[in-house]
Amino acid sequence: MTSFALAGLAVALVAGMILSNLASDSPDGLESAVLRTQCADQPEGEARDACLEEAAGDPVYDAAPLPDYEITWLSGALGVLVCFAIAAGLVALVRDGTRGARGGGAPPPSRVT
Amino acid sequence: MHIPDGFISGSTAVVTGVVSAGAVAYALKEGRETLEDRQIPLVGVTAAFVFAVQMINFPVGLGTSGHLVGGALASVLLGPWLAALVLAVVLLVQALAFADGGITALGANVLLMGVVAGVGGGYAFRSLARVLPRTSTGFLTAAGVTAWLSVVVASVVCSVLITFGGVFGAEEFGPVLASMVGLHALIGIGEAAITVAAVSAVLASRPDLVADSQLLPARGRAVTA
Repeated sequence: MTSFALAGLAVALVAGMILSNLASDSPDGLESAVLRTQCADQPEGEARDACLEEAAGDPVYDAAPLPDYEITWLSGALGVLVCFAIAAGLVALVRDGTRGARGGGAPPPSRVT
Repeated sequence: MHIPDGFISGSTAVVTGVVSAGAVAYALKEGRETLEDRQIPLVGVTAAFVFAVQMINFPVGLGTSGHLVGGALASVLLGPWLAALVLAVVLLVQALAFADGGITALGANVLLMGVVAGVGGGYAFRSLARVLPRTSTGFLTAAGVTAWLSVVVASVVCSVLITFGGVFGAEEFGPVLASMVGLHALIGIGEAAITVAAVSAVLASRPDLVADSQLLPARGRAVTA
């Protein structure tokens, strides 16, 4: 792995595992817009929050291991590493496909300098 | 901007799912044909960084927070289509592992953040960077403006999806649009700041990895590895 990849991963891990603890828990832009429009006739507070939850509905898929990023540092570490692996893995896979097709069965050259 | 399952109708979920699947397939083809092997780590790092920074909601006032979308950032670093791929990976992991964004709304979320912000942002960035001075400042200005625009335009499309194509109904479109655009005009400022900072960091360390490095001054251009 290149030093660029290692440095980039380190930055992402610090952001996802540590800085993420500073995240604001105010509603995001979309939630806030719904609270201000669709749910505006509800009294502010619990009733309005319940209105938002009702609109969002029950999750269709409810087997997420860390819903809402509970255990922040673990969620950050897991998400960063899995996203890196899938994204880099996918493009490496399709690149390997091209080499096989064009290289006429020659062994692939070493990938990363 | 992650849409939960309940906000959009079944038909909207299907249509956005098909469009997003097509975009991801095209992105994989682009990756196969245009990406250089030495850029593969940057694809992984961009996905990891976008995931991590999406966890960090920043307050924008009005009792509202926002976080980086990252579509514009990914498109400046990797080009329009690979940005869609990166955001699709991030959104899939978020939905499956962290219940962030509904699984039936995955197509809609990829459409907003990967296709509108990512692909659209990528082409907007190229157009803008071509008319601005070919300097690092011009490049970063184009990146920042694109980042702001990408979030605001995505919020417009999101308003269409959740009203005309969702539970809030067409008659709510006007007020939803006004709220969404107003709030995302603020959130976009954070998007622009983070995008410019991250692009600067990559330009300072490995400018040769950046997809549109031909838009940079000569000394920052790609060199053959």
